[in-house]
Amino acid sequence: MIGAAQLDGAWTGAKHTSAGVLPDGCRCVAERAAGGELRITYGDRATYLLSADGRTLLCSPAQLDEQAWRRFLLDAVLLKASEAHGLEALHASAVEGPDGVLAFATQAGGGKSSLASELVRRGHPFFADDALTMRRDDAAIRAHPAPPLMNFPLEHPEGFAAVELGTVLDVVGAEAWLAVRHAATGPCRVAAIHLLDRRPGLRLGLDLLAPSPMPLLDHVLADRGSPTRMARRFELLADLVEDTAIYRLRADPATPVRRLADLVEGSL
Amino acid sequence: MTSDWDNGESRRYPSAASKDGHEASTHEPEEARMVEDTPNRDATLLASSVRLPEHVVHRGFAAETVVLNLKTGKYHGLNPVGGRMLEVLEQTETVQQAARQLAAEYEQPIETIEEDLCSLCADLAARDLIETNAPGAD
Repeated sequence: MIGAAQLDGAWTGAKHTSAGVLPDGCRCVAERAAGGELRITYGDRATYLLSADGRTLLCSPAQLDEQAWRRFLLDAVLLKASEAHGLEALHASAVEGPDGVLAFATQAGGGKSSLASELVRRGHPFFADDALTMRRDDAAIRAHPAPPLMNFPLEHPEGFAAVELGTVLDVVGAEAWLAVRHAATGPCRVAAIHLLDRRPGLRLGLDLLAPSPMPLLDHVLADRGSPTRMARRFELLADLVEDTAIYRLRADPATPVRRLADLVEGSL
Repeated sequence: MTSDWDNGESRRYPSAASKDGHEASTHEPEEARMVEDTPNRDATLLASSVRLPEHVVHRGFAAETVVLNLKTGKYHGLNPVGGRMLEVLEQTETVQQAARQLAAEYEQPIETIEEDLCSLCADLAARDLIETNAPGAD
């Protein structure tokens, strides 16, 4: 934890810059230095500086007692640190099942967190809310649990309250930021990835897809990276789909989340 | 058998800035023609060798072969026929030898297979996924 002036002093200058506005209205700017360091500016709330090897992270919050900078640190900045450590990530929520991680991927707002929270409520340990990180540990590919924190809709489609799952740390807009009580504690193989397809008129069903990394590509959270990194990512995804069931989980948007959860549990 | 080798998927990773990584395939299968001198049955290409450059990695799966161009970051999907063609092209010294082997495997006229292979090679080369070396070019 350092002051803004110290962090600026440690910054060597941007080679590449990208920017965007987050759902909470804050503008986020990510700057990559020639040496690989990453500076992330989270509105006027905080600035973070991540070393190229991912081993040092400097944080400079404007208000130390605010939760927002911590939430952004744990939701977004740590993901960049894990990327620097060689982990690959899918944009997916996940819980732990009896034979490994059950992941749920869809586009933003597609209901993956609602489905995961329903399964956590049924007793499956929480694994990840928004990003499932993986790497090759020895010969096997293992997913690594995210911090036990999730963004939970205050008006959950199943009508249950955030306090059923854990402790509310903060409320941002229509979401509670929640410390989940029942969470996975260690790396685990990925048993199944469910690609949520919720469009009007679709009948509820689970289709097992032929093994291929192609359906996962839209959900990979990564900048392209060096050719070496791309090749390593390709090998990881290719090995992953050889050992993991990939499902298309289809349902009409009006189908209750509990029915999707029933289907997932029925496939275990 | 037609030159229907491309699954129509050509993608790159979504970047941090944009998740829209789709790029539509432009490959349209053509009717097989039994004419000697068609653009799809190039005598020089048939006598050429084919190799995958260092910037291309690939993996075969039951339903498709996935090819990644490390220069562009784009993924390409080949259906099982296209995947098998690529595999045989890698193992044989010329496109013509590959055609002979595949014609025997698929029990199809050699001319049809040659046309399909030339079409595949042209498409893969246009995507910088293979390099062809004409005889005497080295």
